[in-house]
Amino acid sequence: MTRADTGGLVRRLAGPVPAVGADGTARRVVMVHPGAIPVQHYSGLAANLSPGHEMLVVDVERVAGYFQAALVAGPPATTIQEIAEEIVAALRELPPAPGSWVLAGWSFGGTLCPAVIDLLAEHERPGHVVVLDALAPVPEFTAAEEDELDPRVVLGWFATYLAAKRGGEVAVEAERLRELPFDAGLRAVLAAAVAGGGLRPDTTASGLRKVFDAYRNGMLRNNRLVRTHHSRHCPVPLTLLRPEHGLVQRPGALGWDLLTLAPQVLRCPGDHYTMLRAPESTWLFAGLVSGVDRVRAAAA
Amino acid sequence: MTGTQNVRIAELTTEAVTEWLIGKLAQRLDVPSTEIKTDKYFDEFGLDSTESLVLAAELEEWLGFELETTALWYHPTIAQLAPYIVEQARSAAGHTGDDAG
Repeated sequence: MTRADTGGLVRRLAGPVPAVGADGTARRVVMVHPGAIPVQHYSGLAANLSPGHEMLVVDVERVAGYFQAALVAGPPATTIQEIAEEIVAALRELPPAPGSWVLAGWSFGGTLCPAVIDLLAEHERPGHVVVLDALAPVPEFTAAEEDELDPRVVLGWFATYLAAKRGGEVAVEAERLRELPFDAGLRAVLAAAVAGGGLRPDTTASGLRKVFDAYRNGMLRNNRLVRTHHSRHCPVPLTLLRPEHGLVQRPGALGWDLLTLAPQVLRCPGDHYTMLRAPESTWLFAGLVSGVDRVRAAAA
Repeated sequence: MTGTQNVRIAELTTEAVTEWLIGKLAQRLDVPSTEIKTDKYFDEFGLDSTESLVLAAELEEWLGFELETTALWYHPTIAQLAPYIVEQARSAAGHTGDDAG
């Protein structure tokens, strides 16, 4: 469905706040985006950064092997290492940015961050990593092969995804969906999405099933990628921002305490998708980015 | 493969598939069919991936067989997709020979 020329891997998000600071330079925030929703969903985060910051988005779906792995069955033809290598190559082509920079990632984009850092030389590394509702790439937070993402559980996540992707509301409770046979749950999601204005009234259940399968295939792909990846210790300070209704309800640091020393865990309202646009998230994120500058300035 | 599907596949031509796709896109976008260009990429019509997949499902229902998930990605215009579908339909039905469209 995409044009032959997919464009570059990295793009700058424009916002109303001047990206260049008083000294004529721009501090960089690089957001690793795993796809599924438009890049414009980060506009709120970008717009609320302090003057003198710019947000660049790495659209991982422009890595051919990653995108195609969600379309075909079986093991992915790429690896997290290979994806990270493409990301690092793209970052090294950017003009150098002054001072410290922040590496961020939402969902699977955050999961990719340690692999990116692992490929960077010490002087290239960011000053901070911020991951938004992302699971650490560790076995403890990766589904085992024999219980690959129960469709009835995924259906609840899919409902929130539809609301974020299509707009409107999809008023159906995840707990209820888990109790229903899958087909009945899918019809409930369809009815809710149509009632909420996100889908056309003539949308068929088979059509929505196709959308769901693509969504779940993306998750299966991500899970398979992590299962074949060996993560190493992340030497950069890390903050995890967790929404109230994230993908996973387990308490704590979602495995990031297994990869980095004492990760900071902050909470915000919203779900896995609405957290990107909620005011509380945007100012928390801006504060985290500015905090890196303050620490660096104090240490200078 | 049922008799009804065989009849449909025998009638399936590039022109018929093109006409179906143009009609569906025109309906989705609420524009005259004459505004749907067959060499325009699907995402240039403003369809997001959700709508594209729903459309793919409707296409499969009309065809009577499933398309590969990658079909619309690797044939991203009506002009590219229509002959591919006819080719797949004839392969599925065991037909041989050139496309009658």
